[in-house]
Amino acid sequence: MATKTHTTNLVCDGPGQVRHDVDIMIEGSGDGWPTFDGFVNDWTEWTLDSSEDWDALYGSGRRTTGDTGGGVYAARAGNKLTVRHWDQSPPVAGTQDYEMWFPYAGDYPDDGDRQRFGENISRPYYPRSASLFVDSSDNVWQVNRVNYSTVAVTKKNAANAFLLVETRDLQQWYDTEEPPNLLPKQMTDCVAVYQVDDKLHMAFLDANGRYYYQTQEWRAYYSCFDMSTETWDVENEAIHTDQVSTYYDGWIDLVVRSTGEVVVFRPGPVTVHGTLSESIATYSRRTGVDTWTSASWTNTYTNYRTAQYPGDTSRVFLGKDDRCHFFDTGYTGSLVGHHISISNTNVFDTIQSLSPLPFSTQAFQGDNSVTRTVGSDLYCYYFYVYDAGGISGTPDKHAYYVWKSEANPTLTSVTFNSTEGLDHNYGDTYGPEGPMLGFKSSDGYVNFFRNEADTAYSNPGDRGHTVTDGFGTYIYTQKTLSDNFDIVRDMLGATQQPRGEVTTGVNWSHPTTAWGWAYPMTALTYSGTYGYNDSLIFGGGMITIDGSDFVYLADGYSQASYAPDVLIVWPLKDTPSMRSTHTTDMVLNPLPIASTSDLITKSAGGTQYSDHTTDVVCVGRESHDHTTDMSLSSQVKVTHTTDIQLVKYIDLTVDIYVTFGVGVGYELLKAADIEVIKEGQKLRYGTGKIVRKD
Amino acid sequence: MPATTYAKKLMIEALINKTDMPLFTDSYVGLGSANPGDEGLFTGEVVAAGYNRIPISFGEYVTAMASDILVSWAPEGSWGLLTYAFLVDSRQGGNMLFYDSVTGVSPASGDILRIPVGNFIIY
Repeated sequence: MATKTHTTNLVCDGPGQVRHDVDIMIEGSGDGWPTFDGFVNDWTEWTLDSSEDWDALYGSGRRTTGDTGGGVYAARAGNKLTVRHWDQSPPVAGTQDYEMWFPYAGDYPDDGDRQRFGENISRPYYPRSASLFVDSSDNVWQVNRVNYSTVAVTKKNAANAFLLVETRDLQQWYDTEEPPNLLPKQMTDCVAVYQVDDKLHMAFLDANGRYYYQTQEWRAYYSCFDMSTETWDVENEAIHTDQVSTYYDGWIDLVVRSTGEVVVFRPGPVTVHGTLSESIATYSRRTGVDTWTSASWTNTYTNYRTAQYPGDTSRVFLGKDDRCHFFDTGYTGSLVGHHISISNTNVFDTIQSLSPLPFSTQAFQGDNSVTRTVGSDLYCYYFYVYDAGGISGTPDKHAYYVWKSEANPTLTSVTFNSTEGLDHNYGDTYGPEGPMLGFKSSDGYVNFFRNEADTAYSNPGDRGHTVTDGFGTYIYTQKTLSDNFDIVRDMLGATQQPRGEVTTGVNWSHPTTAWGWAYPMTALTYSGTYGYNDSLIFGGGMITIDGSDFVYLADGYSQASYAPDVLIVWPLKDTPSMRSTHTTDMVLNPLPIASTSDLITKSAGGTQYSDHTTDVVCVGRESHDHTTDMSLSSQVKVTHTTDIQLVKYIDLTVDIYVTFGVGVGYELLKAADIEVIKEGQKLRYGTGKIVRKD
Repeated sequence: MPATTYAKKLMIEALINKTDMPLFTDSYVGLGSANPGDEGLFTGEVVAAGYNRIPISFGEYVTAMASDILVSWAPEGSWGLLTYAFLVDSRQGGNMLFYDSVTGVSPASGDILRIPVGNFIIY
């Protein structure tokens, strides 16, 4: 029986209870928890009375370890209310409301940059099922699945809201057989989108089985949506149909060549062996309207239960001159993987085995399109997680393949581990967390998201469970092909609590709420429990709008399986890193350095050092007016001659002693002697005397 | 004689009230590699990238008169051995007023050649 005591703020129809002892607390579990259909498009931000004790809400209605039910809880961030909901995992028909989705109304982010962006969008429903795209008019679109059988195309029509434009219903061919609302089909990981100009090319894989391990039929479809006209150019064009399998778990991916030809990578014909079945890795090219040409190359997996979602890492990449690179993975007694490519005339090169084997990945277009041009060569990237411990182990490595696009390419695998400066191992246990997502930013750099687990993020007591690790999410950047991904470009958030509060007391650069999660990744596609995140399905990526890069992610509460809370978008930029052990530069861009002592590198308790080979580069500095310039404290030596220029000053002293000479030539005109003569004394002429006569 | 003939003429004629001393709006300091002599010849003046005569000013004369601004050059190449500094009444051409020898210096690209405040003294 429902109880409502807060009708002005909350409408609750259905079973459950609403109490007002701590304002709003909604609890429920199992089949009895409430539904909230009325809130889907009716959300308003609730301003709460600040005098009320909302902190008491924390800890209410949470799901605990082993809880198989769903639940709803309310919490406060600032004066705003957050209501979250989680479903059961895996979904079970009749116990959850698929349409229910509550926007995240917290203060997150509170740094002024990040914008809540996705209110009222349909929530992404499954891995690989949500991604953003930007059309030529800078409109933002989302393609996502909203339930088992429907793919939605939504357009951002306001500053903070998406408007549903179109949905593509994939359920027709099951309606008369198994209504999806009663027997939901399994469509795990089977929506792929590839954008070319204003066209969104989509490939879907659909099946009619209720469970992934039952015999069922599946089909592959292609559709194309035109964002400029907001119409479907192609609807539900069958690529492959009526394929019977004993075990449904497939993949689909696609690229579009420069000629406009769509190339879809999908499971091919299936061979059933009793309770097992094999499918053959196959590509299909769209050579005309409703015309597809296919070719296969190898068995990709046996649908064996312990295969842990084989095929999830099967991907296709568009290389140089329209070459298509296929990576298939499967299970044939052990996990196997291959690479093969076709030229622009569709000639296969030689199939080669993959080592290590990608174990978990995702198929957002941005990730498919991460390439780097070096001279006339085009290099492709394939980011993935692999399991060094075998198929039953826990994925413990983040890695990527990089190769020069050509026939029979050399696949170089680069693995990130704890010695490469990528882990933030401030606690006891480092671990990659979730798949990686790569993207190329407008500055030409290659980037990826990745999550990291560490006890430094964790606050088990607050969460009320025994998880040992919390999680942080970072963007790492590689500047050039020869560089490592060793630039921490942005920190997206952390679970539990900021690491900085734990270790150094330094303010977190992008605070999240106490329950804020920052998960850009899709689901972890391995079995078992890893922390509390074995069912995360959040999407993320990068879009470029009017020349500026924006990063987005679906932020959600990990326990809320299939229910990210909000889409958050913010400008991609460099933020200060709390830690730097890079061997290939440090980039501070475009942040100003305003300190009077210029640049301070501090470490929290560790050894402070700087071992960069190219040292510190200040790009674009217009002036350099420090009188003391650079102070190297406790620096034993400076060995670089190219990076630090020490100017030699030469001081002159000019002393001019001005003297004046006065040259005076003179003559003395002396008077003649005067002789006194006596009277009567006679003078004769010529005596020469002047005679004075007395 | 560090004062050129031109300067002496002006000073003496002014002192004895024969002619008025012309009013100099600016005076400039220059550098050279040859003795200008009393004639105030500029034949040894630096001709190289980064060189210009630079305005200079002086404080009040008490027992001497010293420069009160920093003068500096940033050579963009080798300037050779400089041995003379002089004061002239124009940025280009003009008449040399005073000159004297300086300690020989050979500035090159990357160096900063300076006459610090107080280092140009006339007395």
